[in-house]
Amino acid sequence: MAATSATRSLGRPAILVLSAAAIVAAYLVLVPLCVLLFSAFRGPPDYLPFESQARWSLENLAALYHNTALLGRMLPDTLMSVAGTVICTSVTAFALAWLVERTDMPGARWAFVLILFPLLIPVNILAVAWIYLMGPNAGWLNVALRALLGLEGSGPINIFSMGGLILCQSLVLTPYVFLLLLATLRSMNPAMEEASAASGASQFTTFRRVTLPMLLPGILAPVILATIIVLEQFELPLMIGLPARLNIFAYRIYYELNPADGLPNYGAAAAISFVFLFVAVLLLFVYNRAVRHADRFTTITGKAYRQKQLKLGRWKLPAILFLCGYLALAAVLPATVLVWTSFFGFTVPSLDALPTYSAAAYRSLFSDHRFWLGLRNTLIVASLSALVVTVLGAALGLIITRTRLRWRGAVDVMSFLSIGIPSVIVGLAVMIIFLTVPIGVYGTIWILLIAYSYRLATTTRTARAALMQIHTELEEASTASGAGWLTTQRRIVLPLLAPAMASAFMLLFIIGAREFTIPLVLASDDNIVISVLIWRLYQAGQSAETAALATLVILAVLPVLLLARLLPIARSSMD
Amino acid sequence: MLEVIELCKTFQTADRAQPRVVDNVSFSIPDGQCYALLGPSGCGKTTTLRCVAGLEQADSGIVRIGGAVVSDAARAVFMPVHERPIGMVFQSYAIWPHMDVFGNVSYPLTVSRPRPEKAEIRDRTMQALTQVGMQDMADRPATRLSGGQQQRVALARAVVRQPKLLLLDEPLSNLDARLRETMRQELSDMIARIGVTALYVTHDQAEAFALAHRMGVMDRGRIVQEGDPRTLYAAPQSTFAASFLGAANIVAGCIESGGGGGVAVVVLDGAGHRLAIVAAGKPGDAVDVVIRPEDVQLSAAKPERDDNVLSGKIARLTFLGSLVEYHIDCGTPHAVRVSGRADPGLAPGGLVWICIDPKRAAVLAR
Repeated sequence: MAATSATRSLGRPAILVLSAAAIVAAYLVLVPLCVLLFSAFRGPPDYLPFESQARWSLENLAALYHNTALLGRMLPDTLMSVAGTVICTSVTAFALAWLVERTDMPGARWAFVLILFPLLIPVNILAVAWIYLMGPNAGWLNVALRALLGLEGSGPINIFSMGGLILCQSLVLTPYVFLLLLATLRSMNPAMEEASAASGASQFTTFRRVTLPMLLPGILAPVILATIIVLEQFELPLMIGLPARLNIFAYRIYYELNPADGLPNYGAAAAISFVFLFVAVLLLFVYNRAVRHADRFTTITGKAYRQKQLKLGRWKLPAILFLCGYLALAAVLPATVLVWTSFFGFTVPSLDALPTYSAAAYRSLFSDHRFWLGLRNTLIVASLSALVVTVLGAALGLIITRTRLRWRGAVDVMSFLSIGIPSVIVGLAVMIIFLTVPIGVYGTIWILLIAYSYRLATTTRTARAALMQIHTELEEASTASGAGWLTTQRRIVLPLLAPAMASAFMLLFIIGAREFTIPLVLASDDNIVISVLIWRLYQAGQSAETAALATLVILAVLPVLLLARLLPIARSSMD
Repeated sequence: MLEVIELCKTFQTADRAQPRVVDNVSFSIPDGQCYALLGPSGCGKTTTLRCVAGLEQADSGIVRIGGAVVSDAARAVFMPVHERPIGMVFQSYAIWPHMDVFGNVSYPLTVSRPRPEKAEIRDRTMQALTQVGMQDMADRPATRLSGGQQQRVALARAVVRQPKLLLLDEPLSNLDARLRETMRQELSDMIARIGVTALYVTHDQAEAFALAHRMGVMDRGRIVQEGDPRTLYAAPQSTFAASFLGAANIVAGCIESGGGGGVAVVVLDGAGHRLAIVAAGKPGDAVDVVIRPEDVQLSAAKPERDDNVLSGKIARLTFLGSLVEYHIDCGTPHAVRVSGRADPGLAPGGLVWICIDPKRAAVLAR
């Protein structure tokens, strides 16, 4: 008869607080979506969707489908980049997770920290670094390879190609999938494998017949999530896909808003968004099914087991080489090239270059008012949006787990939907709203705050999971002691929820600080953030200043990375 | 005092069935007494308790605490939990892990309006801790308490604001068997010492017997029998109450003659043994005879008297330490269980006689 506490009617304060949270959340997630759907059906294209001259029309969608040249390029390019990235990422991430979690790989804990590196750095900084490394002419790796192989001219690696795009996207995506797979691997009961071994199966047979089939549902979910994330990727299609003349969807939306000639075409941007939103939401429901299926399989029970570690033996050397190669490309070389360039300009490192050392780039950066403005804006927007989303997530978690309100299922679905909304689409939708509603938000950091705060899924899920761990009797004991709803939330629930919500806040802060797409779409002179400044400096060809700013970001991230070593998920990989 | 009058509660289940979890339950507890609701899991005892607490809202019926109506569905009266003058001990103890012992116990005082002075909070908290023997552990973090200590802290927290009614929801079920026995005694002493009116929910008849002045046996949402522990044990009114309150042989039979409140001759099904017992029914009535295993005398030699004596063979015996449970095959549909001391003369297959004390056997109409 336990767990039915929710049947009691909620008091007025509870209803008031929770409904307010739900309304704000619905505004942040649903209004942009509705505006977008609306805009896709308003024309003609050169009017804002809400302007009085605009009218209902199917022009936008019709134009998109008749534009076979565009579709003929965009669909295959997007498909190819997504498929290639997901395959490369899955293989790499699984190999890494397996090596770190299930083998006697030396230095696994440090490897774990380095693997997380790309997760913390804004993607456009990584893109700059990879371009410096693998640019066809002066890229460090190309110069080195040409010297090694005695080649002339440019190449042999060209980052500005489909292969280059897939490589970079995979490097960006691998840490996400790695973390999710690590959790899956840990949740596997070792008794399953031991039972197979006790039945006379060899290690390889056990892996093939027991381990892999049991892990499969747990692998499927991260792979689908990776697909959604890569579909939303904007920085790399912009910085690598565009020079390679690749037409990737997320970039295409931005292009329609900032065409080389003429006015922004809101209708066309909305029409393209419409199609991809549909795909993303579809994937999301497949993901949800996969997760539920995984639950049925009970490999994922939330319980972590101490895993048996396999001896690598003669595979040790190849494994170490693989790991080092990956880490070099994903973390060590990008950091090195940026630090070097910040002091020596974009040159190939050599002893002769050392006397040309100069800190001029840093001086020029520190005297640039955009740097200080961007720093301030980044910190304000990232921390405020993380706060908003954490508080809302906690409230939505309460609605979902602690009430019997009729609309609590809708709240759950809504918060979950937010994963599937590409940030370029949110940027577009918020732009249309505040171009139409003149309340003086457009061009300020507050429009960024509103746009950033749609990512409710992470905090809601965190709060939900944490609340499920909190026995309802702890709250009932408080009410039975004479405390009302608000007092109970303040003195019992919030303190118990705080550790989980603090880590969710950290995560959202990092996501906010890395955000590039939304502030670029909504950019003005006043609301510049660090990631947009990087892009501006890079576009202006100021490579030393770009690298100097990137180096500062890396320095800021290092303590976070070292802290990550203390996270439970990192710890148990070595204990 | 607590009065519960015709309480009903249904739950909407997944298959749209609406079982009455609490079905017309009425009872009352005089001031300073402890009442136990006893029944198997799912019988509705916990739901009844939660309706009294206000953690569930009853569909109909009235709950009065200390004379004041706190819940009356017909008049749409429902006082929220935190306004009711109650203290509650939960099954999981629900000790808040982010507070120390003092913080847990003083909590009900700190949330009450008007809030007492700091010194008063301190004094009353320490007094409650002293009542449960935890006064030396006030600073201990809640996460570093044993099961028994958590139990004491939970009790201290429940009584610190001197509630009119103390509610205990299976408070001993989380303890291991040995600790449960000592805590049962201590809990009984502590409740008596505090002198609070208490409603105690349990599925363990030993707890109910040890703690309660009166008890109600619940089955499928109803109180099937109510009374003081001794009467209930000695005179169950249904085979359910008989078997739930302790081990019982229930032997089917038929009244042959007599009865009507006097001595009747009951023919047991099977081999047709006859017992002479006081029974209410009339000749021809089908009845169940309830015989407790400890109320049967077992002997290897034929006893001198031959009324209420059955002969049989030891089908099986189970050694339980202090006692041995014998299963005697004496021609009734089920073997008769008898508990006695270990006796080398009694071995499986051996011929035995069992004497049934007619004053300690009950006859129930079927």
